[in-house]
Amino acid sequence: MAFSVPYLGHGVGLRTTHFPRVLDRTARVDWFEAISENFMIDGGRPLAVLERARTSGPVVLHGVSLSLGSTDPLNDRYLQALRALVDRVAPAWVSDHLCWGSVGGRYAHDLLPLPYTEEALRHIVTRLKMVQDRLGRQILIENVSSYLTFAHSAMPEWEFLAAVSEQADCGILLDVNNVYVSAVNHGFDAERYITSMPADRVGQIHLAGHSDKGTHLLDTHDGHVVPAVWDLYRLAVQRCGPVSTLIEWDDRIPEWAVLCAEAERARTVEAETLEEAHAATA
Amino acid sequence: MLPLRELQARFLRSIATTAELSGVHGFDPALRELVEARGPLGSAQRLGVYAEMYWARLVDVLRNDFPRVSAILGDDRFTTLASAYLERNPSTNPSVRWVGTGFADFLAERGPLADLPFLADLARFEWTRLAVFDAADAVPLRLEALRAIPPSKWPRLTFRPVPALRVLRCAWPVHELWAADDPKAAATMVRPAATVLRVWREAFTVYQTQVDTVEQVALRQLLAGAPFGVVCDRLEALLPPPAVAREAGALILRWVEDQILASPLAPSRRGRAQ
Repeated sequence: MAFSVPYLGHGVGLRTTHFPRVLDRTARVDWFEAISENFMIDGGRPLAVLERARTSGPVVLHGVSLSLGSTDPLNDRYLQALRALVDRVAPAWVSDHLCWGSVGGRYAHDLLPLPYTEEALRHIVTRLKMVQDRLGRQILIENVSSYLTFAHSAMPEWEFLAAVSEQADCGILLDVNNVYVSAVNHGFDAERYITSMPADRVGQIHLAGHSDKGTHLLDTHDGHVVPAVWDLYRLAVQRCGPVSTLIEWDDRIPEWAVLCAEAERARTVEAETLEEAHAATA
Repeated sequence: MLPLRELQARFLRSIATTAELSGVHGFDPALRELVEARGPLGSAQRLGVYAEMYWARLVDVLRNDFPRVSAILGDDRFTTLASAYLERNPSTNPSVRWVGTGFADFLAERGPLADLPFLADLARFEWTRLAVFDAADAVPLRLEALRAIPPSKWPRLTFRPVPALRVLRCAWPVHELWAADDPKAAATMVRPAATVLRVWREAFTVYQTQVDTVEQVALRQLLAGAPFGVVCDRLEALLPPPAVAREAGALILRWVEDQILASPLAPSRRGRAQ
């Protein structure tokens, strides 16, 4: 099976800090990514902002609580709410994470790591197929930042992610910052990760800042994209071609101009990379 | 090697137990054995990263949802109380929006804090404001629509409250604490006083006002779906007969102005639009 989503350009996350700009239509950007759970509410300002954002450009929905890797049954009420939101918003696509976040009916509200085993692979592929059936569409799954790995993992994360996407016939949201953070935390080769991605399944890229805690990197989304992550982004564009790219900035959110400048920088890096690739083959 | 379900159960139990943060028990040994220790971080420290994030994130959610409670308690005391709440009431909803559902009850069940006996009421008020903030939208009833109704039809007229309306009964005037520039200073002076608050939303802004006995009775009838005639009947117990219609009419006008009455035409219009 094939996977295909439209190319939307360079977007930013829809966050409360810039809700007023969305409402007065001064938040001009290629596209917005909205956190699905933040809009699973009955009404009020957040939904009005989302409706307004939809009228100014494409919107995609990005979930954090699907808990795909959980061994609990899929949360039926959550899927109903997600389906209702998808029907209401008509997003360009829907995504969530390659992780688990709940067990025994309890939610950690975090993106917790999976062991990369055949058992986990079968489990997550089965659930992804069920979710895609329920939503009536293919979704994208994102690699998460992690702070531990399991000794009994049978394959590296990039192989696991590629296998999941092929077997479940879904797309990949490649978070380049997460690749870098995990590579530093676990000592693997970030470039190998990027070049191992099945290019035809990468439908979106995330870029973000992180924090250096001395002993490890923490995925904090609270600053500029660092030079090493821009380098990996260039590599991802070389590998995958133009892919819709989003700046995630969730804490210490800067003024609109700074946020947009980061998205514009991604546009420039992508254009330069594609130009270089074109020149090399010409 | 643990089966995936067992691994997940032990993982969540480990990071969501406050004792682990103090390092008293260490993390589950069977889980630690599965975690690779590499570089400067051992297996327990790696689990500790997740434990720290779990508590920091969820306490922060509560701090954002209960800003005045947090301000009055101070950071350390709020973190202690919020952590105790989270340990007893782990989140069971995929959205963090609902993490604080039982926080006010938790504060009440602990018994009044000796120096802050109003805290549970204040928490309930802050939670009510949140409920109103993202309650369903409705088309408010306009004065022109009311004027078009002939007087003969008024006794049987039934008003519908908008979804973004709540009535809250408190033993303390917590709305004053909430509005104080310095809630901590105000908390030292507040005195108990039975208080009924009407909390509602106009456009995107949440408002509250203290309501008197007449409005309390009328609101109760409104929320029960009683016709205008019944509202007036109930007010006869509180007001001299000549004042009943005038007061009831004034209340309706105030409610229209505050946009807490829904237009009767709204549901069918919305239904067709969908």
